[in-house]
Amino acid sequence: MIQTEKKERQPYALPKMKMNGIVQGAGGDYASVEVDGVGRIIGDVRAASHARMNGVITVEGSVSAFELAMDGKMKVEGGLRAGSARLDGMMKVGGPIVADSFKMSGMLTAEGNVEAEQLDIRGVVSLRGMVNAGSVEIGLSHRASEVEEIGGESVTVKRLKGSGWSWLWKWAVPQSDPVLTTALIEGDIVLLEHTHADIVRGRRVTIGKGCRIGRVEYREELNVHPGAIVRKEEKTGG
Amino acid sequence: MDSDLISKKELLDVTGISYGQLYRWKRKQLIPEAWFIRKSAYTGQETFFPRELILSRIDKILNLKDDVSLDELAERLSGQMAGLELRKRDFLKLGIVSADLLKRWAAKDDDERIYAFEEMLFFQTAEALLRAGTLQMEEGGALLAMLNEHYAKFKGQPCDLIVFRRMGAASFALVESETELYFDGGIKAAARLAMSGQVEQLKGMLV
Repeated sequence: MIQTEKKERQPYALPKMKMNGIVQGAGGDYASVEVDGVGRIIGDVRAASHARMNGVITVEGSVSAFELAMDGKMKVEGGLRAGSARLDGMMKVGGPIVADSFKMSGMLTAEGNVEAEQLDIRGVVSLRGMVNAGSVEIGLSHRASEVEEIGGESVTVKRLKGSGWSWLWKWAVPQSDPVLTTALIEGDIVLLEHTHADIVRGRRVTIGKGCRIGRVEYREELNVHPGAIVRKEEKTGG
Repeated sequence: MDSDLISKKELLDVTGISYGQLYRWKRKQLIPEAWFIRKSAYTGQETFFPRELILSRIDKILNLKDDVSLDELAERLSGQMAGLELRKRDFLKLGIVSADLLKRWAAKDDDERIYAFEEMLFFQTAEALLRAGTLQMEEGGALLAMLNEHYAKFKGQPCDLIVFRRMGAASFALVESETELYFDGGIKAAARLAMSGQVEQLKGMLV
């Protein structure tokens, strides 16, 4: 049998970073970055292909990778830029996040704006900036989430029932009501549950159970769950 | 309400675009961040845009989006216009600057000489001033030299071009936008021109 190895596109000139154990590395340009263990990267780190981080890692700078995978706990002091990002655990980002596809289970804290074509987060978010994504899906669980503003084509916020990683939360965070609080949500298709928002604007808007919305402006369609509170609603645009 | 601004709601009504499209275009940098002006209105926080700029930009996007990819469009429209350059003779063909003027102001440049976006911007700015009657033909060279030397220093930050005259003799200055300037009585400020407006105009002509 002929075995073919799928090769990642890699500029040969760049070194690979591979660290495990208790580590400390320098930022810079790498073909790929693989870190297992407890470590610190000093400076901006850029991986032309993938970056895999497992363990507890702090980056004193920004991270950019074509493909980013993280399992554990990671803190990025600067911004985060990735083609695709799959993160499990806890992530803190000091700057903006820009990705094509951003998928995360766990707890995400970001100080800057978040931009993605696809944004899928399950768990807890605390986002100080504006979220702008083609599709936004937030699955709330375990404790309260907050986002400054959300805008996109479709915005879905739901409360998750049970999850496979609840064991993580038992020790990681104190529990509180999984509700999303935000100032503004705008989208073509908006579907919300357990969301407290000042303003929701959209074409088709569904306000589900547990929502408390100050004002809804919709263009085509509005559905409100009997258990939701909408203080003001307005049909706009013809 | 400021008539130079348009609210997001009105923009959507007038153009027929959706929230999703607007956010997508912002992500793709087809619409500059700086155009999103946030103000509090009686309905809560609202976003406004510079009316003229956003309407012409959306018109452009809607006209072009079926022919070119959004990324390509972004490149054409983005602030830096990186990569947008033209050979002198192609630039001439566009008729943005008349052949006479180019002959006068850029006689040394070969027909094959490639102009960067900024250089075309300077020619177009000089031409605009000339047409408005604030600039004499023979002063163009000094203006172009000044722009060539100093414009890049603003690194894309908004700046204004000021044309002023003392006893009829023209001088030129670039200042940060929104900077107040006061002259002594002997000087007559002939024109103040926002370069960002020129950039938009030129983009409109090139795209």
